[in-house]
Amino acid sequence: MHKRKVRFALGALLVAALFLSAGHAVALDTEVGQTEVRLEGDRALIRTQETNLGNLVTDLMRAETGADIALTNGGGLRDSVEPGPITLENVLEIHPFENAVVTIELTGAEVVEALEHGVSRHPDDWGGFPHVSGIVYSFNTNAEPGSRVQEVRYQGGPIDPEATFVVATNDFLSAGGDEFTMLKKDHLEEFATLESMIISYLQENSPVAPEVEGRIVIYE
Amino acid sequence: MSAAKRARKVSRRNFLKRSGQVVGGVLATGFLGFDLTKLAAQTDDGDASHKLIILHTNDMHGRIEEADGIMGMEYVRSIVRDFRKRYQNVLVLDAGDTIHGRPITNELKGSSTVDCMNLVGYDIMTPGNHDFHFHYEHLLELEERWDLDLISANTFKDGELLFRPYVIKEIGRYRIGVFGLATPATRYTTHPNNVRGLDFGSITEATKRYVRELREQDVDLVISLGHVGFGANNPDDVELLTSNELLKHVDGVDLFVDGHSHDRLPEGEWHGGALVVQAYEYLKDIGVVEVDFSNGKPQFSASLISAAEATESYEPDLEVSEILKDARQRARERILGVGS
Repeated sequence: MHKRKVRFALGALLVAALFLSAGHAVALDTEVGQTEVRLEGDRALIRTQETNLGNLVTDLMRAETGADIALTNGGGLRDSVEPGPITLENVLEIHPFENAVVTIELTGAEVVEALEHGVSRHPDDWGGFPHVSGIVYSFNTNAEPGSRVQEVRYQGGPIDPEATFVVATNDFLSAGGDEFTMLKKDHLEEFATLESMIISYLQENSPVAPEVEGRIVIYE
Repeated sequence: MSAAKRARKVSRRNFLKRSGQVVGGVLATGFLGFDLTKLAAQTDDGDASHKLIILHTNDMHGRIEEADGIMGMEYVRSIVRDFRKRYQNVLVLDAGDTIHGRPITNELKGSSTVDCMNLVGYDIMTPGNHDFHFHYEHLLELEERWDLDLISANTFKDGELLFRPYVIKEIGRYRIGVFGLATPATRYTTHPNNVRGLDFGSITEATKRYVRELREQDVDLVISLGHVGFGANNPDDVELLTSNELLKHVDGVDLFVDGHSHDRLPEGEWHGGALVVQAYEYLKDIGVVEVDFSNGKPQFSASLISAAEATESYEPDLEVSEILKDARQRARERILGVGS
């Protein structure tokens, strides 16, 4: 608990510092970036399929941490943003949890296990649905939970179950949140809160225009 | 925290709340009784003393401000005031996930949502998984600030219930028993650190036990107030029953006021002899259940008031507006780092 509080304070300071250094007043309506497309975070979609917001967030998690793979839960992304300016408030609405981004080491087999768990409740709008960067995967929603994932590809080929990967995720999942027990690992590194990371990425990379590109293929 | 330390923390108000299961009886008969005939004359259909109106919300997730498709707390209060004017027997419930989700409440660790709910006059709430977001000890601190009763019949710490399992409200001439249920998934659907040391027990066992206890106390209605969820069961976990599945295995519940799954049930649904209601999400709707006791056996009719209907038919409540304005300013100061 104590540790989390400290981390939250650091996250808040980071947000403030970013704006003060840029010479802007910090208010909830302060613009932190621009998007050329609607960022899709509606509950019914982001908990059941690939969306451009899931791709944007996992891509920036991977870019900012240098991890091989990023994985985050759809239930942690909780709102959409319309095309145009993105405000500080928009970011805090997308991710209101102050979860720290962390890296952990996983084998290819553990990555597959996490994906299996994440799609086990599909098509329910369950918060554990996994958005990914660095890998693409397919699953059959009609198969038995636990044996739905069909293919996981890393750098163009099937993922090696015995190879190890640095995986960026959030500290909710790495604490076993949504019963992702296979992600309960010691952290290699702890980074800023996800909302701070989103803000700093948007400030450097706007306008953004993420797309749905077939990372998650669902067979019915 | 030890039980002794916890006991010292309990305020006088909470001591009074905890010291007896029956609350509100004196107020209901003494205070409201003063004006009964006048109130009755104002109802839609003459004497409504044989009716109970239950207003319910769930899964607001900090959406206390009006927005597109969201009525916000300004309209919730206006609606509740209107019903309290037209009916003498009104009960206002929330099925959880209130204090977290938007900067206006996150930055203030939920206090702005609590203040709004106090103005509205909510009677009873059961905590949802996201109400543990600021750690369960903070939820216990907020409990002191809340005027309502927080109830849960299956949330334990060291083998003891963390909240009161139920409340019996004496409203008009009726005794209404309401018990609370938390989804056992609460242990991993908030950051597990927030609920470390807590146990979330079987909702089947809790329902059987407290339905029996309430029935023994001669209540006229048993309401289950659950942050449990509606629909298909989680196939992985038999303990994670949904409200409708639970009702196949238990008897004696009249009404199940549900949350967690963000379902919109326009007229409720009957399952296992009980009416299940849920009012969607984010204060997009407020639920209304009318219970008519005039024929002995209670008769139910459930409906929803949508945000569009609310904003068309009601004016926003200005006292709530003031709270929201102040909260927005303080949330801004927190983000700037100049607030306390």
